[in-house]
Amino acid sequence: MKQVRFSLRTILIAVALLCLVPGITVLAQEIISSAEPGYVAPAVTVPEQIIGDDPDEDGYTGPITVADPNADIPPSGEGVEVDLKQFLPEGEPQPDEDAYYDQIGVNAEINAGWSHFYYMNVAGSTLRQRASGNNWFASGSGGCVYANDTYNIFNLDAQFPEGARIDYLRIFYYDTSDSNSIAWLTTYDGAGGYSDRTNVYSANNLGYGTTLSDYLGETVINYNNPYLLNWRPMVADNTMQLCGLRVAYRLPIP
Amino acid sequence: MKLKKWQFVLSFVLLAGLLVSAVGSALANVSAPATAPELIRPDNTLMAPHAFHYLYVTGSALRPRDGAYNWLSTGSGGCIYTTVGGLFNVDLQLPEGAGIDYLRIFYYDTSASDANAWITSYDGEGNFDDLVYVGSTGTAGYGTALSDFTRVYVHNANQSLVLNWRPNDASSAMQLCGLRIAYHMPDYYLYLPGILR
Repeated sequence: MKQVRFSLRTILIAVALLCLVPGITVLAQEIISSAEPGYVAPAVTVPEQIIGDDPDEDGYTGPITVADPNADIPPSGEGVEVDLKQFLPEGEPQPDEDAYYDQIGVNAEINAGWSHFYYMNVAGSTLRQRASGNNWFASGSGGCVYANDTYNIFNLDAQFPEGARIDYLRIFYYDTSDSNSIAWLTTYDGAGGYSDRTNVYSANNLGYGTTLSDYLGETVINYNNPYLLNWRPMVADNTMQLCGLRVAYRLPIP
Repeated sequence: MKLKKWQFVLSFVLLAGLLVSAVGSALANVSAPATAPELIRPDNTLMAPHAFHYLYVTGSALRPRDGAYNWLSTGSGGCIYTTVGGLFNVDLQLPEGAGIDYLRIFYYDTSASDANAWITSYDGEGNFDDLVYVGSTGTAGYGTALSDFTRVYVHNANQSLVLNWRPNDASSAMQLCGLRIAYHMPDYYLYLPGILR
């Protein structure tokens, strides 16, 4: 069998490449920065962190100051702060609630092998318009949002655990308009294509309310699909507000 | 085989560089802390029965709640401020049943005013509840402040959670550079399927 020989020159070139490739990578990281051009790092004024010397760090053993629930702190909303416990769900269980499937006569076989419900619950005011040019306004103590254009679509990134099963989309709204707004859970393919997986409309014009989508039952495959919550008000004033979107999903039981 | 002079110089430089980087790396590892931070909180096991988890949001990820207010990012891209005013927010998702203990604010503050930050919950019917509060302090520039201990359990079925920030100053003298929530996972976490661990 013929022996393969390497000259010293070949070895030196190989060593040079081994050194140069990581070096170039490091240099590239230095050059391609997310900071603004001309950014100069400020002098370090915050002391170096020592893990365990603050109450919000593991290892801390010092005194803890418990917040006074009656302390006079500035409110984040313009309305009156309330005890949200009074708004805990009551009355007839809904299909996106666990208690619904405990009722006699409700077929729960579809949930075999799946966990109880988990929720992604977002306030309406955390959605933003997906294109600039129009405006948005907060209301409902800072939890709701409305627009000044009927075609001003709002969105928010949605992340779910791999393998979860998305069952329902619920909308919370304020609606005194003759029109109805619509919310979607949408996926995109990264090449300009989209698919509205489910949708739900606001209903009536009585003020605050909530409605539920039809059953979806879609298994999450994050490799293929980025999910997005979309909302279109259809009305260009505060008679149509989005106050929340809630996605009910289940986890597979191993 | 004979080496030319330039080949010899090149090889010497490359090997020297390799040696310096290897020795530097070894020294860096030696100078790292010898022991891991203590993970047990012996005197506070009732307050925080598990190790802390953190949700850490960069200040520049927040946006004004109303489009009438502008926002600007500082040079690094990590901090945010406004020259008009208003209130900023960002969606907050935490595991069901998690226990929120603290909210920490990271700021740049050379203003006479102090900024406010909250973890707020909403019920979808126009009502809110400020669950945890912390303000910036001083005028010394970059700094951080911690809320008082406030035990709040996450119930995603009933409430949406939001991080809110109000600068109380319409200039670059007040910037939000980060908000960090210290929370612990519920006991059920141990029994969840592997996809969540």
